[in-house]
Amino acid sequence: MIKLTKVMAVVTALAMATSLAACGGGADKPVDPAKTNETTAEVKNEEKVKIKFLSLSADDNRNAIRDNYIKVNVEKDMPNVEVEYDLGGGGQDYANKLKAYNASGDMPDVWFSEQNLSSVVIAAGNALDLLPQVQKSGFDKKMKLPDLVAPDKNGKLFCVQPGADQYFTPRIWYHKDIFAQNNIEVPKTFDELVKVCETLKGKGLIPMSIFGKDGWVPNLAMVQTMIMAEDPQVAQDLVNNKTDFSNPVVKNALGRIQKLVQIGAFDKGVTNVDYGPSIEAYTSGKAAMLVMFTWETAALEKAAPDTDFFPWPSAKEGLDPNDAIQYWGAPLSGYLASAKAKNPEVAADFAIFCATQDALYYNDNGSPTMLDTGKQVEITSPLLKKSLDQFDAAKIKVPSMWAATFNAKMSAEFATQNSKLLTGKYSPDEWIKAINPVWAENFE
Amino acid sequence: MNRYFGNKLAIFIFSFPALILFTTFVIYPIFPEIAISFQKNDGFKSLGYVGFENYINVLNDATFWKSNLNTFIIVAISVFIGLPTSLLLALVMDKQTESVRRFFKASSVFPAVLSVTVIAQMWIAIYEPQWGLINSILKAVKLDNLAIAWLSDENTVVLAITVAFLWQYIGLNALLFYTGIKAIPNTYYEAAVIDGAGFLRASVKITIPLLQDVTKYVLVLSTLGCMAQFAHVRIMTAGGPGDASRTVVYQLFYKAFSASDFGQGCAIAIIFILECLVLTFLINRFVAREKIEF
Repeated sequence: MIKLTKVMAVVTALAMATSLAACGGGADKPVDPAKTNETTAEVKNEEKVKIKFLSLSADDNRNAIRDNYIKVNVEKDMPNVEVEYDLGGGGQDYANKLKAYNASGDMPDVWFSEQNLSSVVIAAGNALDLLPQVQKSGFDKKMKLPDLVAPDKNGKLFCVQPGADQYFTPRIWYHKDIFAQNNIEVPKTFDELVKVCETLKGKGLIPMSIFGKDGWVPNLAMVQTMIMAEDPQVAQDLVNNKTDFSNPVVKNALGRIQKLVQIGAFDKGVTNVDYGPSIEAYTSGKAAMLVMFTWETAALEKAAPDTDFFPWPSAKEGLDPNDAIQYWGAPLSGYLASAKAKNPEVAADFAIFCATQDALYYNDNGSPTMLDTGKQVEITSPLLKKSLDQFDAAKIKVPSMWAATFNAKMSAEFATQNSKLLTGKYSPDEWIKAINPVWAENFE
Repeated sequence: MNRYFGNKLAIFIFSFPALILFTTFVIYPIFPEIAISFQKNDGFKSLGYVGFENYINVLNDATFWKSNLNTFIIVAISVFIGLPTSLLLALVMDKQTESVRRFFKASSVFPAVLSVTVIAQMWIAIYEPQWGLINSILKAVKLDNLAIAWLSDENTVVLAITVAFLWQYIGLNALLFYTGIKAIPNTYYEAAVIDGAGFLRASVKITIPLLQDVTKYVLVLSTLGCMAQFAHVRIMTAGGPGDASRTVVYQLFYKAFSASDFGQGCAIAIIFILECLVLTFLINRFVAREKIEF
């Protein structure tokens, strides 16, 4: 009995010691760049190159792109490739799967991921530089927004994308009927917006519906648009790390959000209002306005036919609200390839192929993309056409700080601070004091 | 002698699978966790050892202390309001007819077997500021000024979540107390009746003292359950508004998985383990120290 106990204790101790050693951080091994150069000779000698492709599988759009475009066209466009599809689920499941691959260093050959996950894979040295193949294939020439194929500060490009998200921008949607019934004009300045909200509140309506849980709307849209309403350059400088949040324009922007909360512009209990209920409050007519991105255009048009939108009211005299626009999407949201792919050129080509198929899917469904696929996109929705025209006409286009700039820690703290701001009892000074130290680490 | 060793071997063999599982999934993870708590770690790889920096940062973080306060509020409400209510329900249940008891038992278990998501969503609807049950009742009785946004107000959010949590487990605890009551021999009560004791006196003098083993078990279970409170908070408020309703485990989750700071996340986990050990020690030290045999 005593011997058995001793044996067990020794086995357990050994297991613990082994795992502790593993925990100490063996993942710091540098990626051998030479490996990424094992290329064409091998490809030529083999009849079919096997590519393992990890994709989201809990999202209708992603499933349609994979099943109806990539699977169908790969045989025709890349006959030398045999694809093994790895369906990764969605949301946190997908993130965890990708994190596990990243931790092991054994990535699939090609995968789809959003900015926050892509950046950690790149930081771990597990992503392949796609720039040579992007230039060789002419993919870069087809991209209307050059930022999306621009190399990073080290001269590398790790992600290719269809540019489908870039047309998404936050709008203030409103019921034309409610405005007309209450003799309300579309506000052009922030002060006019405040008056509109007060009038609507007096009529017993929710002036402006927003998804406030976890600070969602301020996170993704409102803080940045309030900054841009006064000086778009400050938002651009934040994206480029040329200023921080103690900039007076930021403080004014936060003050404007605080003012909207304090006058009751948002729903009661706004800090706990979810995505669906925020839209439902608008489409049911309980709320006169809604702050939401243009990806909901079709749904809003269908559910509330009197819907229209207006650009974010200006907070500075002489600033035309149509001049500046915030665009969604991020440079690292798209398709990446593994630095350890056996055939890096083929993996890079397959990633480019996936991005192109992705764009084709959106084009076939009436949505324009920054990647020119050669397809003529027919836009049938008048509201979408109006939005796209205004988007194209805007002189200053600033990427989303949230999507394109923030690391995980910054995103988390930004959400916490914005949720506090929505209580109306949290001052811009407290907000700035809390966020600046995290911002200082964001670009490390 | 053989019999002695035979029994020991049997005990070892039968407990071995559970021991392995417990060691692998409960005891063992603590060791890498300790190692990570001394590292700068983003969840993917170690960025080097930083000594006690993570612990210092955690202990200097006001949100960590706020999350501790929230956790202890939940524990205190559960122990001082939840458990006596469960005990009272058990005592009342014991005096009912068989059919009523059966109904009580079924309805006691029902909330506990429901998914936390279902419970949380139900309570979100109950607390909804415009059309939720509570505010509708308050408005109906002309108490509009009390009809607040329960889950968005920093002063009420923790209480509101605790009520939802208590509602889920109060019946199950009552059932545990009830099984304890049924184990008490009837002869004690028969003697008490002869001495002229009523329901209240018998409960105070006989039932509650003789339930101390069950009380201890329920107390440990409830305390540790409340300490580990996460799911209700996650679903009902995501720790908000701001960080107003974060518990220690939520703060751990936030640091590790939202902010990708596994070093601080693990430091919180180690501190949390110590807190749980202290609480368990205190309960063992001061509650039901003498073994009761009927």
